[in-house]
Amino acid sequence: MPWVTQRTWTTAEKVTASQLNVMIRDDLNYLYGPRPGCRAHHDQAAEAVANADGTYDFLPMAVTDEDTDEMRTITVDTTPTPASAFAQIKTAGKYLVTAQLTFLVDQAITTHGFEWGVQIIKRTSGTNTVIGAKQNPNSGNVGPSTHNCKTLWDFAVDDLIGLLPVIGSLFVGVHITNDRAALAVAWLGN
Amino acid sequence: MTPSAAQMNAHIRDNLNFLYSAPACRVYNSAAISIANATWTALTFNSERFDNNTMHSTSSNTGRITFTTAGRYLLTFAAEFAANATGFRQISMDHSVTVGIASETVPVVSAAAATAMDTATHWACAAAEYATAFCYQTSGGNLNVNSSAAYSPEFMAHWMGN
Repeated sequence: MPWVTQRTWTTAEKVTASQLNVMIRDDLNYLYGPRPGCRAHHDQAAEAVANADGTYDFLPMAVTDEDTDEMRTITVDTTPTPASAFAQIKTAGKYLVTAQLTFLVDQAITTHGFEWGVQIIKRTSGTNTVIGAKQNPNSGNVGPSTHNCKTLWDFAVDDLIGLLPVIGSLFVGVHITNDRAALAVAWLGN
Repeated sequence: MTPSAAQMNAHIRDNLNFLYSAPACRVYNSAAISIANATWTALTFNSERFDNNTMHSTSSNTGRITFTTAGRYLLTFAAEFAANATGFRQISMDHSVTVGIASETVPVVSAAAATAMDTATHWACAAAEYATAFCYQTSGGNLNVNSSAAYSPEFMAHWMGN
């Protein structure tokens, strides 16, 4: 149930049960939760991430772990990216966004490069804006590399949020389990 | 007793509106900031993305997020260092009473790639206390914190509860 704008009470008005239910019960329930939010993750063991054209591709998040506001039901155009890559804002407000992914061990680091990271993208009417980024050294051939990024943003209705792997190589593999390539979005306030 | 309209407005309308639109701000700097070698440097922020509780000023003490309303806050700081192959990079947040409430330290990415970092924490803050953000690098010379898109340098706070 969405937030209902609080009314201004006036002197001598008769307060109804309906008014109290909406203004107190329903709005307190809204704040108590579950608040608008969602979490999704990738569903493949590994995926090649290409940047051969100089641009990166949004990581599809085919599995929805939680969704309290139909944020994973995408109703705006995402072409050419699969809709599953995004969460769509249905309730405006300030959200905490966290994104993480894990790159596989690089088997040929000299050719694949070092520039690995993750970006949180706000996509509005087809225009992408980087609102969060983490770009740290990878582990080379020693082990996988996990990147975790978090940010706080004031979103409008229909803004899309996606996770963008950032690499300096032709392709690398992305480790995928439900905690290693995931996007989580939580409403904090209006 | 019969509550007055003023009481209803203060205790129901205004308090619920406070919880609905809790204090929050996100500020950034619209130009790169040079960081001297091996010197903790406080960042300043000349622009605001949002600020619903007079938590930041673009004219005085621009490096501060001041907690106009007491409470427990989620704090996040993000900064991207320019590409450079030498040394390590650190970012940190201070509270006006407690130094070093969150930090991140990493080696450089490479000579060809910037190092993008963020750190976050939760902290109890009294009214008028404030937080500041710092950067540190050991490249051997001056190195910029980039002004990049909407992610560097950015400093954020959101009231989570009393």
